[in-house]
Amino acid sequence: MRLWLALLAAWLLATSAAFADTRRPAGYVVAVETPDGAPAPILRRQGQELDVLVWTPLFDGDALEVSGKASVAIETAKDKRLVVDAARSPHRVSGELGGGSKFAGLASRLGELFKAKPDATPTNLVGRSDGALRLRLGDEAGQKVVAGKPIWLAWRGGTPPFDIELRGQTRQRKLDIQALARAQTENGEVKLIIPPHAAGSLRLIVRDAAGQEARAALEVTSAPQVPDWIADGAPPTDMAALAMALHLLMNQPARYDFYAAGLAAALEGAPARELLNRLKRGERPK
Amino acid sequence: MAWGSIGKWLKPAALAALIGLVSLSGKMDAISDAAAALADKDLLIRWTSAWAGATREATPVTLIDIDADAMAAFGNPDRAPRQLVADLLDLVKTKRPLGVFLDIDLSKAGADAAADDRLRAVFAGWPNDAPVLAVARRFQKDKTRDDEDALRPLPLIAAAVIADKPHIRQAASVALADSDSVVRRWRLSQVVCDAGAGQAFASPQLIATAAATGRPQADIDRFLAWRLRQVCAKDAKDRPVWPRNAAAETNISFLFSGEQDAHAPLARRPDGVETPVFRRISARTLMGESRAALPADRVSAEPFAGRFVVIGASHADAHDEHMTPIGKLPGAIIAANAIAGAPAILSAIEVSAFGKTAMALLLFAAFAALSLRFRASVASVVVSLCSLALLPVLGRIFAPSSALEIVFAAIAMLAMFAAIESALEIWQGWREGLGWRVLLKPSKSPKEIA
Repeated sequence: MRLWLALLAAWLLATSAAFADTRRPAGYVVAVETPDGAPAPILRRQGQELDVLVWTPLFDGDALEVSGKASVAIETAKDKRLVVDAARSPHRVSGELGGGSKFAGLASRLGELFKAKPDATPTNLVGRSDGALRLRLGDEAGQKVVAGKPIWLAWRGGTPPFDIELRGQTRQRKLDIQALARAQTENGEVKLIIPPHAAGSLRLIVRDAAGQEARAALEVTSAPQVPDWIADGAPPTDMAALAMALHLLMNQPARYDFYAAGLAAALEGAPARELLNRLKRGERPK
Repeated sequence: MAWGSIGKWLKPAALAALIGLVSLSGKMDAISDAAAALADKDLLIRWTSAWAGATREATPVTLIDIDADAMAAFGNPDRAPRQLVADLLDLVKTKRPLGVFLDIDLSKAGADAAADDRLRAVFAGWPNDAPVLAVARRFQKDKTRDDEDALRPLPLIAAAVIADKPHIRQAASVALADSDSVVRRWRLSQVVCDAGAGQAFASPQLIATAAATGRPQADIDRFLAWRLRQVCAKDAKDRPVWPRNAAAETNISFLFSGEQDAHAPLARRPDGVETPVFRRISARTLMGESRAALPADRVSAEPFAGRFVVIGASHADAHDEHMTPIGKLPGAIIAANAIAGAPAILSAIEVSAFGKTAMALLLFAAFAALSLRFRASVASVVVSLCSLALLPVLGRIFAPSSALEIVFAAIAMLAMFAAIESALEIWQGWREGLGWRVLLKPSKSPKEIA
């Protein structure tokens, strides 16, 4: 008798888990963070333990268990977006994503009949000067910069004033992410010095008054190699520095944009200013 | 004034008061909008598509969207990073999709030659048993030809690599914008005629429907060879049996807008399970901290398995937004709509212009008989209901846009018939000596007429 009951229970568990994906999900996992050493999050569904993967569907009644430093971001009908960490664990999922039933479809279509006028959206018929904040340089991933040397960056869009922040590690405190440099400006350009103690990966953040952000990833490295005919220009003249900047800006892929523009920004004179103006307009030397 | 005279005006006055009350309550706008909407061809095409089963038979589509979030992670470059595109292709091919449509412009070399090489390597390594991969080819107007519609393909940076890959096809994702700049129709294939060496490109919806219905690639090749002969050599003989409806241009069934909170139609999978027709996944959610795509074992197969995956870009710098009957949409979502709704359209019976006219005439004869037998108000209600009932039926047999053309043509014929009939009555009354009174409505009640 016990054996039959056990078999029946096992069959019920297996079939209910198998039928779970025929239900409409309550939402999905959209990100899983498991730092080194942290235990993997677990999804409990009707007595079974499932792996938590990105875009795993979540159903009503599921329980998400997260421990240690791990975290799971979910998007569900009820919670919209929620990050489940050890403090919120276990998190029980409830609800069901809406839409789709025959009645809902019919109601939606009949509603469409009475909503024939499109929803009005106020639109400014004015030329924009507050477009999306976007860096003009540093399009390529992982811009290389040199500790102790200036960089120059320009951006378009956004609402002044702008806050510029350089965050990252130092040689002494490699685990600490901290603000290494800050600047504020009303213009769409700024010159910053990479602190001599900066090391590793840095993050450059430009924020505008409306809360928009533009970001770039930087990597502290040694000074770039340039052709001998530029490097040997003796004595190092402004012309040699400008030639070096142009050479680096023309490189494909452009890894030294900020650094090269920093060389030009350190110079006085019309040619250097003209180069920066062109960079600010989004042009590049070809 | 006699009581009888007051009574005569009482009914129209009460009706006028009722209409006035409805109008004052602000409901008249809604009623007039609804009445106008019934004449909105775009709306009725969507209804006809939905009621004719386009949603139920739809190919489920998942869009991996290289959106503003994903671009921000790369420092907002001008174009979708090719490294990311290559990573996403590698990720998706492990997830058992029906096929993949790469809706990214690859006509020019990117800023990072290494990323271009990586993408070429992904194409070169695309296994022969992997799902079909459709790579978008861009077209532009061919100024050397007199034909207004003539297009020529722009180069494709990976053309040489994919030339001998049987499971990679170059696709022409070409839609047609009408004179009001609204995109409503697709092109099933794009043919380029050159002296001696023409080329035909399949649309992603044709490739996707073949993949979803288990058709071999040879069926697409046969169809493209026929289209090439038809367009360039004017030889339409030996038309292949698939697709059944080979109409070159057809209305897109806009089934979804891709917005987060919009109504999500469901399609029925071959195993009977209902699944959302469309899912949109931000590419950012598939990227790790290092901006590379997540390893395959960290991503669930659920959003991709058994679905056609579109990798496209909706970020502002893609400059790929178009007006559609349901609002401004990124090109990738328009392509997803075309792919999703294609099975219902391609499996419909193709009907020629003559066939459509003949059916419209038949329908008109039935409508005219109704209008002769019934009062105008009753006839208009019956004709409207019949039209609404016929749309899904005809849309199921023929394509939804063909069904709408037939029904609208019949209604137009009926309107013309009623106008001519009325003009003849006026002319007859004039000849009988009624003079200007012939322009007035007959005042006798049906009882008096009887």
